[in-house]
Amino acid sequence: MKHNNFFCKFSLLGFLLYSSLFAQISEPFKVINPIQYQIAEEDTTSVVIETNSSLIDYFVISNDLNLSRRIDVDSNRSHYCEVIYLELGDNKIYIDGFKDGVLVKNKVQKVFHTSSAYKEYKYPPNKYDFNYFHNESKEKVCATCHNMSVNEVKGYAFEDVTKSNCYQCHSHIAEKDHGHAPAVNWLCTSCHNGEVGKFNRFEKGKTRFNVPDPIGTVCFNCHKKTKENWEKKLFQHEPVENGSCDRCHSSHSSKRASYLKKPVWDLCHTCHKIDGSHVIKTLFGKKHPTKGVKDPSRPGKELDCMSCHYSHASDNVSLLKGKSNFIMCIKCHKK
Amino acid sequence: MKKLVALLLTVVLGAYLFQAYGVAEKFGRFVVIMGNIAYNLSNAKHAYEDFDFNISDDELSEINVSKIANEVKSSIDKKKEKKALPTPLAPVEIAVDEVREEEAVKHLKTKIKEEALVSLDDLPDKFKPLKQYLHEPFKMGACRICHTSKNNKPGELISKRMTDICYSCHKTKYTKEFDHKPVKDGRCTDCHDPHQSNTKSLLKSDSINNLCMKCHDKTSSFKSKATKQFINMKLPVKHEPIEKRSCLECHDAHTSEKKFLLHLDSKMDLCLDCHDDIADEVHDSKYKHGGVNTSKKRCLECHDPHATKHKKLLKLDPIKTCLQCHDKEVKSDEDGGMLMNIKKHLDENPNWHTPIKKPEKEGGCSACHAPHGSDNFSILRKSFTKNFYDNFDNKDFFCFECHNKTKISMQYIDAEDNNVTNFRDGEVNLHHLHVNDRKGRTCRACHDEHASKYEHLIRSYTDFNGIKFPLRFIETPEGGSCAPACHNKFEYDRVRPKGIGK
Repeated sequence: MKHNNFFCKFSLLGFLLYSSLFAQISEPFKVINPIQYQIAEEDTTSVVIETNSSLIDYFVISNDLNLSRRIDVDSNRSHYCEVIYLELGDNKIYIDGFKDGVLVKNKVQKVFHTSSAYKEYKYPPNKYDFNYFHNESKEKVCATCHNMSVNEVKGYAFEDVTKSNCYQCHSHIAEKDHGHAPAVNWLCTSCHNGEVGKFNRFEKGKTRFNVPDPIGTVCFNCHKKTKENWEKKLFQHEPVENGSCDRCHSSHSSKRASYLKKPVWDLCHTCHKIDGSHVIKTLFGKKHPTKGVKDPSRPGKELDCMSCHYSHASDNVSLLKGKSNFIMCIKCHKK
Repeated sequence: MKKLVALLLTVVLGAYLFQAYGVAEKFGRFVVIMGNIAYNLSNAKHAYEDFDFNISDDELSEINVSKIANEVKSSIDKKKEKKALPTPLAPVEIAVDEVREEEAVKHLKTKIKEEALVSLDDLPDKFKPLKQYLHEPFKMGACRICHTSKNNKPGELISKRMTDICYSCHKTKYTKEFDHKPVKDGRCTDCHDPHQSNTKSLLKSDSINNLCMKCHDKTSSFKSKATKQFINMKLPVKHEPIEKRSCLECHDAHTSEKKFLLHLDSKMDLCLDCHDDIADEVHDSKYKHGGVNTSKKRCLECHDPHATKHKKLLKLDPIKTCLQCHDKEVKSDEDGGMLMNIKKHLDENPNWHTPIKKPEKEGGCSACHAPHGSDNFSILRKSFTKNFYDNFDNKDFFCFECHNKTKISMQYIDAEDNNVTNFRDGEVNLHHLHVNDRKGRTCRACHDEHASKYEHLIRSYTDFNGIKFPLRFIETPEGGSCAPACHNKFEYDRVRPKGIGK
């Protein structure tokens, strides 16, 4: 009996040893996220690295934005997460692993930060692809340290936002000045409801937290009255009509009021390229300005497209704010 | 020669200027613009303003037909309604009185044998002195009508059943749906004295009310005390008709078609017969209180018809009366939604709105809500808003009945009027800032009308489009801070301005 017990213990120890050996990767480190040639819609991405502590002492994450972060590898820990900021377009993330001060492995991950507000960055090159993170197989890796469940109570915002499970990894999305209330209060699933729209049908089931595209279906859940008001109008701006709110607005937080992705004039000019003679060109070739001067009709503000046009809907052609051209002129040009 | 040179020079200069200032281009553009103007003038209809929406004849006829049909239908319906209105029935108790008058007893002396008459002076001593009202046979001395002539047992009746004697003259029989128990049992003499009394109708008591209370008082020691339907008239607040007139204002002494021997339906009609101002509120108001409108006991859900300890004849104190029903989520008659569990809300949040805190002085729930019905939502006594955003201009919100309107209307608060509001950063009135804007926030955006766990009734959560966002209010001795969903954490300080007051 005694002998038997000893054998049991021994075999258990052996199994544990074997399994722990098996679990460790054979290379110094492995990049789990981002994948090579990944598309990023936010201006940040989290770098998740799995290490083998016996083959690496520390590693350095750097990119072209003067970022360089050294992370020491602990023998008790296998996975490391770092959030890094991205520039629009191509980004290279360099990960260099060191052992005893000697470079043992280096890897370059390419990430493309896309934005619908910039024509040149709207469509990433073909080789880039989306990486859907929140699915069962990938979440298993994180679940060892992070609570991957949704702890949000429907209809109630967090009293202390840091208690949100989403906040643990995604805190950076809400750090800009103008925060969209559901985002900065971590009511993530009110938009990330896992459903897909007609523009992203193919994404169905790829991640738990899908957002429908066009996003309007979720936006208008809250902004119901605004939508009703717009629908009463004769003309609607095309993105309003098909619910592509995210073409101009960022959904989480932004540097600008109304969560605009760019300043108003630039934002409009992403799609509406105007030549020199917008509004009027006088006999002597002098153009009417569309920016860079004070707006007499809106004291304290600069002239931009919003001086004359509504951005969403209007009863007047060209979404003008006044019924006729003449009314538009006398708004500023008073006798 | 000189002329030729001058001409040549002018031509060259002219050509140079023509080229330099682009006169040709400008002239060309001028021609185009003038041409455009001429074209637009000749084709007076400007393309932009020429938007008329042609509705096809089919659509037009469809719209008109349906509209006309609706109008016709509504007018017919109205006529039908008018026809269907029930003609008011004559109150039942009048019919009873009529019957009684018809069969009113007339005692004719000729009908009674003269030798059996006893003169009033010969009556036994116990009947003296005579009282104000005398029973007709007694007055005549016709003892024989009721009593036997044998003298061995004085006062012996001709029949053992009282009903046989009384009903032999008083032909009115009480056989409606509900009879008074003594009437049903034939105990006429429980209430009436067969000989004489100082009260009308020969009552055995000095007043109607005292007679009733003989049986209907729980503490009474009267032998034929009522078995149920006790009332306590010793309580301080009494129903006026009982006090000033009598029980018979509402009840019939003998029999009635309605329960509790009432003249009209006990639940509401009887009450509203006198309280016609309330009747308007109950029947005609836009929003009706389910407590009166659809409840089981109607008026009697909250009021006691006889006497209570509380003002307005409420069964319980003003707050508890409401919490009888509102201690759970109740379905609203207004929009079918669920009304909040106010008892739970009050239990959970220690800071109460003053009318709730001091119900006796400030009026409790009914300080703001009209319990019988109102034209304002949530049966409020005066207008308020349901919205998060609302413009305060020219609006007379209910809150300002008690709260000073200058609290929100003054943009800057000087040292002189320091006490108007404490919600200010330096001299800047933050109430004004929140309220007087394109999107003016209403009181309810930040304040809970009932109770809160924070001071100043600041809400813990504000409802914005169905999501409850915490305000995260922190109060400091000279100011405080808020971090709601509307903005980041903003601080204010009355002495050392921290935000906009700088």
